Amino acid sequence: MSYGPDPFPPPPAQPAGLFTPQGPGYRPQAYGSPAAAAPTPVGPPPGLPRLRSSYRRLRRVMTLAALGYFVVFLLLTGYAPGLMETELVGGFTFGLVMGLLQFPVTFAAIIGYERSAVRTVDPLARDIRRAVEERGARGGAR
Amino acid sequence: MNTFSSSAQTFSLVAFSAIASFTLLLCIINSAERDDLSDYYTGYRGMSSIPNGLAIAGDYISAATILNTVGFIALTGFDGLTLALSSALSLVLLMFLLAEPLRNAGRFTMGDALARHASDRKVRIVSSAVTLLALVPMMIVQLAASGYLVSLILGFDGDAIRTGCIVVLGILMIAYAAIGGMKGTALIQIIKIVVLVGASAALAFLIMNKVGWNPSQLLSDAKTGSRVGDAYLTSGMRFGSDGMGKLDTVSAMVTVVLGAACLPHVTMRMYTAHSARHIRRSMSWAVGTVSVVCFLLAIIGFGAAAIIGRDALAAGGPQGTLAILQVSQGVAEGSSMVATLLFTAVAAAVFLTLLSSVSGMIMACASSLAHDFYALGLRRTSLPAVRELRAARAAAVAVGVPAIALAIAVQDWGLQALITLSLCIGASAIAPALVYRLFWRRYTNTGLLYTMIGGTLSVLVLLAFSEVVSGGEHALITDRNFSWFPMHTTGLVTIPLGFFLGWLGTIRSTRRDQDDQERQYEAAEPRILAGAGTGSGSGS
Repeated sequence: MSYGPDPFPPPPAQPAGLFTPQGPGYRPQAYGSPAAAAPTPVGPPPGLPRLRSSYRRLRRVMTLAALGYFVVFLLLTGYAPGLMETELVGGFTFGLVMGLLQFPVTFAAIIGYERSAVRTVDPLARDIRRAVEERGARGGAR
Repeated sequence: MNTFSSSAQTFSLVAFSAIASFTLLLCIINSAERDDLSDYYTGYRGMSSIPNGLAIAGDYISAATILNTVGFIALTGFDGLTLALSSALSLVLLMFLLAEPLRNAGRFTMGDALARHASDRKVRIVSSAVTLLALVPMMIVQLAASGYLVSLILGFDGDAIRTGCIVVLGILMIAYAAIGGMKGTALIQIIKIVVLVGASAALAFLIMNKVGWNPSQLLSDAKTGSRVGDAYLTSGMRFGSDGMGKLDTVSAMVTVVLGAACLPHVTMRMYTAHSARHIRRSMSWAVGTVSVVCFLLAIIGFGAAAIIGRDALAAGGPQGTLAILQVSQGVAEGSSMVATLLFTAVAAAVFLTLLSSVSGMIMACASSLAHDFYALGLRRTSLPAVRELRAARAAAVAVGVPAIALAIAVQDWGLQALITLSLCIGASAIAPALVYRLFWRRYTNTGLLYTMIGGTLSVLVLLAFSEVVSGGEHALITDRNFSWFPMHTTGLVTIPLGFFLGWLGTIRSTRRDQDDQERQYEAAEPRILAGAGTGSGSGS
């Protein structure tokens, strides 16, 4: 793993100016290890902004999916009782079917979450862990 | 008052004794080393994801959840069902939003996740206090319920016996937490969840069998049994369907969705995983199991309305709390052998749930007291592991004994208010604090204290003046009425307030404070996001 320039610069929404190694507010820190004063230059590990945004995307999409279904269900229950009381088949109202459907929706959501987390987030997190560990070794902390 | 058949009572007595001695033995075998904090607080993070997931599910499903959910569904139909759905959803949200960063950021307790610095003593002390305030009410309810249920199931009568039951079971629960630690309580949670799934599956099977595997038949029987007809399958049975009733329903849902999974005894289980991926797998199992249980409880609830009927259910307990036991007795009428076995299985599941749920909560309180309050909050010098572990075990007793005493004192009161209190604190103080701390880099300690203290106080004040404390049907205080807050949960007001206070406290901190926090967050970010330096291992 090289310590060259970050191939994935942080998105412009989060300028890293103040805390980049040359910024005024920068103070080298190692991650909970006593290597805080190590001579090696320590910035945010490369790839961190990318991990941050993939995690954020994953969190947002999945939370919106799971919570969105429930919020729609709740709003319909409160403010469209006519629709929810419509009988679909054999005594099952629309509201009841929609409520019971939350179980399969939940299962689909956790499977989807796990799959995309393994695909998008885990490789990035693994790289960062390696980078931090190597850096710790170079700084003589381990 | 219901009475159960004498053979069912004998079987239950045998089952309870067997469960109590077997689980205690299990805890002693799996007791932590004398000087190993990690062993006691997290069980070495040594469990694979399936047992770990089952333990999380076990901790999540309290006896109050089971009894209330079935009771609510049986009595209020659709509204009860939405309550079950919110309980399931809460854990999903925990999994998607908080579980992985929480696992990476935290170590043993909520204070570890919230305090970023060893010098954040106030944060430690406040998180310990909020942990206790959120969990002790729930413990009291379940301890009181255990005295009532066990004496009822076994057919004992009289106040002295009920009090005796609370004391004996309470001591057992303290012993699990003090001796077994996280690993011991995890094993009990796993046994409990397996027995619970088995018993409720059998019960749901017999209910469906009784209606000829025709769900429509179950629904129409439930409508008839509920004696409210079509209204049973529409919203509004619980709080009414006028404007305030709707808001009340929404408030209850939101409080459960945000609060239930943020309670410290559940979040504490996040730290037992050895990597983010591991906690994700564990949470998948936990969410799956909880969803299955909620679905089975829904069938059982409808079955209780169909088979037992409103009058008998309402006679069994203020909110149909006995519904699951009544229906397990009623569903197999005619075949006494099946009835006895089924009743024993369900009673054993409830008994195990009571024991494991309270001991999980005692465990979380004891850890927080020993670790956050004593070792890192009060003391200025570091505490040797041997002594901290001794303190944690002593804290289990120090939390458990007053809880037993309180439970004995209030056992005849309407205790719904206490469950509401726990959930509201979880949703209004703990959830905003965790969300801000894990995702907002400029969130200062002042903001955190505003959220935790302000959120908790606002819940306490508003709830004190709501119908669940006085004036309501099953209120805590029956002889006076000083309620003016129009809802049964405070979430709709206090959750936004908790978030607002956190923001207010942060912008009122000095710029230096905010910059400091941002710097500390950035230093911690590789750990929070990627688990760097937490022993996750880079191999897999």
